[in-house]
Amino acid sequence: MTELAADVVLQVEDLRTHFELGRRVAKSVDGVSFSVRRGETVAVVGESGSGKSVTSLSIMRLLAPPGRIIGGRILYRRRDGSMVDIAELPEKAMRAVRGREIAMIFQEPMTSLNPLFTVGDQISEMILLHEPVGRAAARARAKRMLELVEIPAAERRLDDYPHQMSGGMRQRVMIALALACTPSLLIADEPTTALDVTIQAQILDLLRRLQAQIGMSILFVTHNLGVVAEIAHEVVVMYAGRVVEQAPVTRLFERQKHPYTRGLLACIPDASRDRGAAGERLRLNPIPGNVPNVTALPAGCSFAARCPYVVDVCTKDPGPPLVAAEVAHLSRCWRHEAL
Amino acid sequence: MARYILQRFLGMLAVMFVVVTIVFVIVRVAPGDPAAVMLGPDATAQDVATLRARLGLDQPLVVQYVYFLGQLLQGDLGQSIFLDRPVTTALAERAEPTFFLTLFSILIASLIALPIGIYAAYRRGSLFDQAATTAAMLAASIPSFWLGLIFIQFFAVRFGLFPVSGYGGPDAGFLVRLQHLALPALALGVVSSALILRFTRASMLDVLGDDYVRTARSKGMGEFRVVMRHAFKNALIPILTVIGLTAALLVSGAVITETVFGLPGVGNLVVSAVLRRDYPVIQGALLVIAALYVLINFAIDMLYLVVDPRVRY
Repeated sequence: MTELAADVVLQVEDLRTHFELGRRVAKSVDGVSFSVRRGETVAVVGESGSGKSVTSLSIMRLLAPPGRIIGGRILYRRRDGSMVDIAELPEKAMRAVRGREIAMIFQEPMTSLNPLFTVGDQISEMILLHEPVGRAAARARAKRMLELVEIPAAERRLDDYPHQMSGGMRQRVMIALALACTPSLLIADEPTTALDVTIQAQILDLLRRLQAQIGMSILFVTHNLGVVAEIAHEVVVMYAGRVVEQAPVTRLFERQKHPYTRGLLACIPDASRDRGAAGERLRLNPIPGNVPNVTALPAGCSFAARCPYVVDVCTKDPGPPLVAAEVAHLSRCWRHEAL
Repeated sequence: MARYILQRFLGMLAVMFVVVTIVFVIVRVAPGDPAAVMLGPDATAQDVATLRARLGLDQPLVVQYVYFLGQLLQGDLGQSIFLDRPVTTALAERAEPTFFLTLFSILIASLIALPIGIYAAYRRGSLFDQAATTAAMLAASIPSFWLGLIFIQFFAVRFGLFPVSGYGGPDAGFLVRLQHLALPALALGVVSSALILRFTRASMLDVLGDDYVRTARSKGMGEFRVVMRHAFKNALIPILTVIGLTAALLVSGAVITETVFGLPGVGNLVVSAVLRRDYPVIQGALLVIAALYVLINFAIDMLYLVVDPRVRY
């Protein structure tokens, strides 16, 4: 197995995850590569259907059939320093990684916790699964975890059921649960999407502080570029199962090298900007059209049909390769120099 | 929680009151004069009038009703006409076979239905799932008395493994009783398992796709634990309901099976009471069966409380 650079925790190489639906094949993730360094936050950005969630579920090996990793590697550096390819890891070995070393939080805090168990039990369960400690020790740790995510009256809250808590509280519990075994990598799949804006900011702030405290890496999956600006170091933009642009966050916000990213940024409403000469409200700037169906991708660049910069070559096979448009700035666009 | 229990309890009392009233009315408005029916065609008008007076049938309906309620509250269901003993005694004598038949049937049904239903849902669309669903449909469409007759033919007559009929005489030990109960319980259990199986499968399918099941997997536990601890417990409420209702149905539905297997249970008592127009016994049996129904439902409501912390009001 090839070596990973010393500070890389996760390296996804040419990952292909397909769903076989009868005779058609949905190429939900089709040749995705990126890596996550220790202590770094990488944001995977895209609309629904771009393959960002399937990518994270592939890394967790939690794909529901008929989803299947059919190619590529997911190299992961285990806590003991050994390196494994998650794509090939036997299920039993994967179970020791899942939850303990790579943990995940989900979009829906309202439904992601089991309604029939107290939050204390649900956090303790994670600890008891992976560590040789007793019930009392697990409960004590669960309490510390609740304190860590800043839930007041943690001792009392341990015996609460999820339905006795608000959405923001539940997402804090989910974070406490995910971090209970101090994972090396946290995968956060749209963790703030279902929350109010103020709660959203609190949760992002909390994640950032916990990251500094624990030193874990975060793979942050979102469609919200505003959130990306808050939390990410590196941004991977996905479209129709592929990476279309990748760059450090400041660079990406300064200069987009792919029309899709540019379109995504233009979608963010800006009250001061979106006014006409007389101060009247202008229309929002959506990207026209939809993400193409991944069972029947068009020839050439899959964004061509929605792209304002489209030229003849864009609709012809083979599509554009992912190239370095600038140093540390990748783009999958024939016209990246013109952007 | 106390409020929930009180509410269910009062609900139970209300239902029982309605049942008692309906039973009273049905028996009174049924065509024919009970006194005349009891005494047969040869009785004189004088005899009938005397009996009517003795049974209180000459009183206005309201008076009869109040009297009936009063007796009932004292646990008196009246006197059987043919058995020469109080209805309560007659019912109590017959309760044991029916109770055990119901208990074993529901145990057998659950033992068949739960594992198969859970696994069928877990492997949705697989050959196993299709076979299980088809078998359940088949089992549901088989009458239990027919299955009982087949069982008697095979296991009792041909192989002699079990007794053909009866309950083993008045002095038989528990083991002998068990032998007599095996075939009828199996017949009822197989037939009742169908409904429980389908409910288990449907309910499991519902919860297996839920977010917390994915969360459970993301913690790194084995599939058995995911399915049994996290999914099954959440699927349990509809399953408990259908098991309870099946048990209640069995109490009343065991009539035919008891007859086929010659078990001296409540069902058998009711059948002979109907054939002999033993009104007090019919009335008493109806009330007891209805009460069992209501009690089982109450027990299920209490079980919800144990299973689901959200059930509090």
